[in-house]
Amino acid sequence: MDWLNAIVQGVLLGGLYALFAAGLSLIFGVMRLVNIAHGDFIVLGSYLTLVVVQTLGLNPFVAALIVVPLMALFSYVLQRFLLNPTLGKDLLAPLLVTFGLSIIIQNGLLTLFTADSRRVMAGGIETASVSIGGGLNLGVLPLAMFATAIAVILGLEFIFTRTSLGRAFRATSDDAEIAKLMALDNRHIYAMAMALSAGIVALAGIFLAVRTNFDPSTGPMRLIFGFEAVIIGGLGSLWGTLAGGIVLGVAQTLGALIDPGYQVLAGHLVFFLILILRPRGLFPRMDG
Amino acid sequence: MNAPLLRIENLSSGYADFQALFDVSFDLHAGEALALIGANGAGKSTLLKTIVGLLPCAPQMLVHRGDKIGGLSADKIVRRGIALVPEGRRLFRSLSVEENLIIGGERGRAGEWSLERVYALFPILREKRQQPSTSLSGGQQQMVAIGRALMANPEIILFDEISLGLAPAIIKDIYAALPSITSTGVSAILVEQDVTRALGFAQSFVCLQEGRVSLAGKPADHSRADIVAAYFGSH
Amino acid sequence: MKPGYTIERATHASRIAGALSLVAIVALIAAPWWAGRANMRLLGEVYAFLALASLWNLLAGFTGLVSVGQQAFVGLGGYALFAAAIFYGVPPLLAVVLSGFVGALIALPLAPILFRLQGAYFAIGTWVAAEVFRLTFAQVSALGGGSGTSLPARIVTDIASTRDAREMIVYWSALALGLGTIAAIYAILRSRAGLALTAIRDSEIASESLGVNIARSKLVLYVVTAALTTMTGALIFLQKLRISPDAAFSVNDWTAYVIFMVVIGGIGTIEGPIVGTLIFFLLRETLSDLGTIYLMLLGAVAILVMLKAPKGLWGLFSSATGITLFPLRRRVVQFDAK
Repeated sequence: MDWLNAIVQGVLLGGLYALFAAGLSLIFGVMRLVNIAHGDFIVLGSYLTLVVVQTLGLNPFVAALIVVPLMALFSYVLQRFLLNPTLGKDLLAPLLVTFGLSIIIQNGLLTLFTADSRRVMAGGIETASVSIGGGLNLGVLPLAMFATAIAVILGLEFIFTRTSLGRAFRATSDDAEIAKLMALDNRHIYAMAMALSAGIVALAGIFLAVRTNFDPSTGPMRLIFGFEAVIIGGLGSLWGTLAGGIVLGVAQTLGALIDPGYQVLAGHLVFFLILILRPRGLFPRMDG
Repeated sequence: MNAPLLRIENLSSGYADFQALFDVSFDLHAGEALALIGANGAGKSTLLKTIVGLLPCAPQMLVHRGDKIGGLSADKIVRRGIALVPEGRRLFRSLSVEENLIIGGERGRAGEWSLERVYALFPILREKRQQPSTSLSGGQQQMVAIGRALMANPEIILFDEISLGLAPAIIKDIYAALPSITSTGVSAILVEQDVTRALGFAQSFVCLQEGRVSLAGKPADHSRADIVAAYFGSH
Repeated sequence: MKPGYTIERATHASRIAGALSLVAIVALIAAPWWAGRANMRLLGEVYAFLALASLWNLLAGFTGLVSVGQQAFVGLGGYALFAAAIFYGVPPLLAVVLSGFVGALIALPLAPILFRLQGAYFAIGTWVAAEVFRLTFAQVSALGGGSGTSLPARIVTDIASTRDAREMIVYWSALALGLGTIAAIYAILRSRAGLALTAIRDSEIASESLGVNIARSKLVLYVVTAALTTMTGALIFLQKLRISPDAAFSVNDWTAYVIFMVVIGGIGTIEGPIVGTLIFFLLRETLSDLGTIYLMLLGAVAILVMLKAPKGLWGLFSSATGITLFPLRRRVVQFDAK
C-alpha cells in the first residue's frame, strides 16, 4: 500500500518537475540556450509571490495574475539586453552569463530576504485532499500541479503548432538567418521565448512556494530536477518532459520510502541509469 | 531616365576577415529584370546578402526609393519590399509547405500575392500543402522558396541560384513561371550559373569578377566574346 | 643575402618573465621565514585555487568541456584523504598523492556517461554527478554522515610533531602542487596532444578530418584534470583538517569562484587563471566584508567581462602589448642568412 501511495504521489510530483522542465526545454528548443539560472528564476517567482501575497493579501493563485506577467516582462528585458548578445558565438558566453545571473539572483534574494526559509499559505488548499478509495488520498495541490502541467504542455503545443508566434519560434530555431528574411526580428523572437518560459517558471514558483519551504539557495536544485526531467524525457519533446518529470518524481518518492536520505539521490541515480541505457531519453525527437 | 528603384553605389562588403566586393555600382529600375553573372567566388551571393541586410555595409551604398538603406537590419529591408530567394532554398524544415508560405507573407507588405496566387502559379504545391517541407523534391522545394519570397509582396525580388542542383526539365518549369512574376511590375535580380539562360531572361546584366564590376549593360549591346572575357577575366 | 626562416616559441617577454618568476618562486619557497602564520594560510589557499582555476581552464578553455561539477573531485579528494588516513592509517601526504589515482579511477567510467550530454547539458550533468557524491558521502556514517568529521589529532601529528613544522610542510606541498599543476598544463599544451586539443577547440569537424581522435583526447584530458583536481581537493582539506559533505562538494567554493577567476583573468590562456586568481584574492581580502553584495558584484563583473572582454583582463593586456608569458604558438621568425 505504501508503495502504491508513493507511486501515485510521485506521479503527481512529476507534474511540478514537468513545469520546471518545460520552460528549460522551450528556450533550448528555440535558441539552444541553457539557462543555468533557471532554478533561481523559479525561486525568484516564489519570492515574488510571497511579496504580492503579503502586501496585497491575495490568494497566491490570484497573485499569479501579477507574478506571471512580471516575471515574463523581467525575462523579456533580460533576454533583449543581456542574453541576446551572448548567442551565436560559443557555448561559453551564454553559459557563464547565466551562471553569473544565478549568483546575482541568489545573493540578491539573500540580501533582501535573509537565508530564513519561507512558505506561502493558500488558505487550506495545501492540506486538502480527496480520497479515491483503497485508502489512497490525493492532495488537491498536487492534483492542481499535475493539471497545470498538462494544461501548460497543451498550451505550448497549441502555440507552437497553431499560432504565428509558434511558427516564428520554429522558423527561427530551424534557420535564424533566413527567418530574418521573413521580417522576423530574432532578438524579439528570442525574448518572447524567454518571456513565455518565464511565465511557466512563475507558475512553477507559485506552486513551489505553496507546496514547500523555500530559501534563496534552493534554486540550483530546481534547475537540476528540471534538467533531469528534460534528459529523461528526451530533448525537444514536450510530452517527454512530463514523462521525464513523472519518472523522476516516482523515483524520488520510492527512494524516500526506503530512507528519507535517499529521496533526491534515487532521482539522480535513475537519471544516470537512463543516460546509460537510453542516452536520447524515453521520447527522443524524431528529427534529431 | 527615371530615378532608379534601387541604386547600388560604390558598395564594398564582405565577411569579418575577407572583403568580397569592391566599389560595386549599378542601378535597378522599376519593372526591370537584371542578371547578375560571374564565376564562382565573384561575389554574387555576397552582393545579394548585402542588399537584403544579412551582411553589413555603409548607409549610402544602397539607396532604395531615395532612402539610404545600407546596413538596415534584414527584417526592416524585407518590410520595404525587397525579398531574397536564398541559394540552396533553405526552407524551414519543421514547418509544412503552407506554413513556409504563410510565414513569408505574415510580416511582409500588403499586395496581390496570396496563398491562392502562389498555388495558381505552382499547382503542385496545393496538393502538398500539409506536408513537411523536407518531404518535397528539390524542384518543389524551390517553388516553395520562390512562393515564400513572393508572399511578402516584394517590389524587388532577388533570386540566388534557383536552378542549382535541379534536373533540366524542372529548371524549365521554374523559368517558365518567372515571367508571370515580373509581368506584375516586380523588379528582379537574378544570379544564375547558366549565363545563356540568365541573359535570355533579363533586360540588362552586370558581370562581376573578383568582387568588381567587369562589364554591365544590355545583353544585345555586347558580343559573346566580351561577356566571356568579363566573366573569366582576360588573361 | 637571402632571408631565411626559423620557428620559435619563446618571446623576449617570456624570457624576462621566466627570470622574474624564478625570483618570485624562490621568495615564495622562503615564505615560512618571512610570512606570518595567517599569510601562509592565505598563500596556501591561493596555490590551491591557482591549481583549480588552471585545471578548469584546461578543460573549458582548451577542449570546450565546460564543467560546473568539478567540486565532485575536490570533495572526493578530501574524503579520499580522510578515509585513507582514518581507516587505513595512510600517511596524509601519501594519501594526497594516492587520491589522484582515486580521482582518475572514478573519472574514467564517469566520463563516457557524461559525454553523452552536449554543451551546457554536459555542464549540468557534471553538477548532478557532484550532487550524487555529496548525497552518497552524507550517508557514510563512519565519516560523520551529513555533519562531517575532523582529522584525528594522531594523524595530524603524523605529518610533523610541531605545529610550525607541520604548517611548513603543508605550505610547501601546496606550493609544489600549484606550480606543478601549471607546469604540467604547460607541458601538456606544448606537446603534440596539446596541439590536437587546441585544434578541437577551434573546430571539432576540421580536426576530426585531420585525424585527431577527439573522443580519446577529451577523455584523457578529463581524467587527467580529474586526478589533479582530486589531489588539490585532498590538499585543501589537509589544510582545513575538517570535512563535511556540504563543504566538500560546494558548487560555490570550488566551481563558481574558480569560473570567476578564469573568466576575469582570461579563458584559454595559461596566464589568465593566474591573473584571475590573484585578482579574486585581492577582491576577497578587500571587499568580502560586504557579504552578499560582494558576491553579487563578482557575478556582475563576470557577466560584464564575458560580454565586453571575452578574453579577460590578460587577453586585453596581451593584445594591447603583444606580451605572452607562456607562449604556446610557434612563430615564424625571419632572419638574414649570410
